[in-house]
Amino acid sequence: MTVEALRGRRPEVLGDLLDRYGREIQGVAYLILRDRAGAEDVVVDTLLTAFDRGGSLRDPEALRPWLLRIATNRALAVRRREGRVVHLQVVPETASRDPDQDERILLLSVVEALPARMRAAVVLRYYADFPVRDVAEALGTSENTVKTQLREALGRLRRALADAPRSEEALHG
Amino acid sequence: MADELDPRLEARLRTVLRAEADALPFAIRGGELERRAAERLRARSRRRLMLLASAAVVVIAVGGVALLSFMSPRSDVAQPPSPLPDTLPSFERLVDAWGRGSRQVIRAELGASPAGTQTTVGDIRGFPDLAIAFACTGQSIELRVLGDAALDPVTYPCTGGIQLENLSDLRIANAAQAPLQVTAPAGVAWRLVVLADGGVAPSPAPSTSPSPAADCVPVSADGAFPTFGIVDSIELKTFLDAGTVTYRRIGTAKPEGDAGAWYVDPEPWRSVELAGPPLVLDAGTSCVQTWDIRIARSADVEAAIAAGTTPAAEPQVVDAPEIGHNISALSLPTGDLTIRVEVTWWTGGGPAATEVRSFRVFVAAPRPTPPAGADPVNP
Repeated sequence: MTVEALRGRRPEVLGDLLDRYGREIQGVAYLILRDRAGAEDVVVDTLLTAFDRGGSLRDPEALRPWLLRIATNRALAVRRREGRVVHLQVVPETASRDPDQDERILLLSVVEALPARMRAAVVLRYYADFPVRDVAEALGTSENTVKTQLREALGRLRRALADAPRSEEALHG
Repeated sequence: MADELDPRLEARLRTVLRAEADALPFAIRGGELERRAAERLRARSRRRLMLLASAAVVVIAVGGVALLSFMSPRSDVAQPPSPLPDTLPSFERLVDAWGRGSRQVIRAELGASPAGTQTTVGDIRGFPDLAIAFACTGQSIELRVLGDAALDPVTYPCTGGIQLENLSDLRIANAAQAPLQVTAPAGVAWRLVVLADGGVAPSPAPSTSPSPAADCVPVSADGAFPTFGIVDSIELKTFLDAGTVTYRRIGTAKPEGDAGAWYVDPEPWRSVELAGPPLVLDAGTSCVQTWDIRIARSADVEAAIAAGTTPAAEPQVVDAPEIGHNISALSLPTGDLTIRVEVTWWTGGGPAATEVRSFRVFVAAPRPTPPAGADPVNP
């Protein structure tokens, strides 16, 4: 239904796409950009791009990966263009006493510190649950490159956790 | 084996990422989306109408010229393109249109020809983010990317002004070849630059060796951009990646779009206390050629922006370019400051690049040093 409406360029499809995929697109963009306003722009831009170019889409199954691919590339483009934007989070003024919270902050900070394309690979694989092949296609690279990026990212996460003994214990029980 | 995939870590990462994204409020409404879609369609219709109108003018003009040439003695000598009109924006202005720090991948121009021209220039493979900035006089030009990269020919009416086309969506990273084709009808003169923004292209780019004074260290994967950071007494947090317990929110700093203007994000700023050696500029791992660091009181910067002038900034003497320049060695007064840093660096295989950033910090007075032997936690 949505794909047909998209191919027919029926304006009401925008609302439908927004309802179905808007949050997820925003999630992908936000996790890459770490900027809420930027992520919202990416959502709008992605859906308008889909509306413009959806005429060629045939396979309904391809819609979600296609949208998230557009969103990823938009977010990476934004980051490259405006990218050396500094975003800092509000954080507790003293260290948290909640190990889960500490670990969450630690994991997120490591993900944020990853190079942009590696971070995009992590977001697509672990947030959007893309298979490695789809991640590779979305980023215009090879599956081997994506696997290497994911391994490297997990390695960094593991090393960061190893420096925080309580988190490591929580993770490995 | 330490970096092999780890199902438990992967599951934890999944949970954390989802929780982080789900915590974000979703504020976009369908009405806003439809309004912007309608705006886009209207802009496109206007462009099409302009094109039709200019095409009609050209048909009449070409008919007239054909009639005149039929009535005049014929010449078999091909007419060379005429010189470019002075009214076309310079290459420098075209580059500036996309933003400072862009690298030129292609730079081309052609004067008007009575017969029209089709020109193929350059190769834009391997660049992650591209834009074409161009200007033309006359009727219109058509741009397309050839090879197995997909860009349908797009016709642009000539306005004489600068036009930008973002090519970021093009899937040309793995294309075998991707030259740019410019088709200009009779009487059209054009000038264009293709610009790559950020990153180091995987394909070979014209290489500029660093100057002998450059301070070089091996280039890492992350070495394309310098990072700017704060050092506290415990560890380095880069500005880009900060966000853990060390800092309170200080807002958003954006790189300057224009080297001549200071930029301060309008978002209200809070303060950050810098302890210990306050600020480190870490150039990553690359060959740094120059640093230019200027510090001004933020109030002066804002006043200068409001007045459209340049604030009086104190240039900081940097003895020699070095990796990880420590601003604490410089004169850093306390208070609400805007720091502008311009660094030019070079990474292997790519030309020199310049990055300009301004950010704002509140530098607190140094904390009193506890007497020797005092317990730092429970003095």
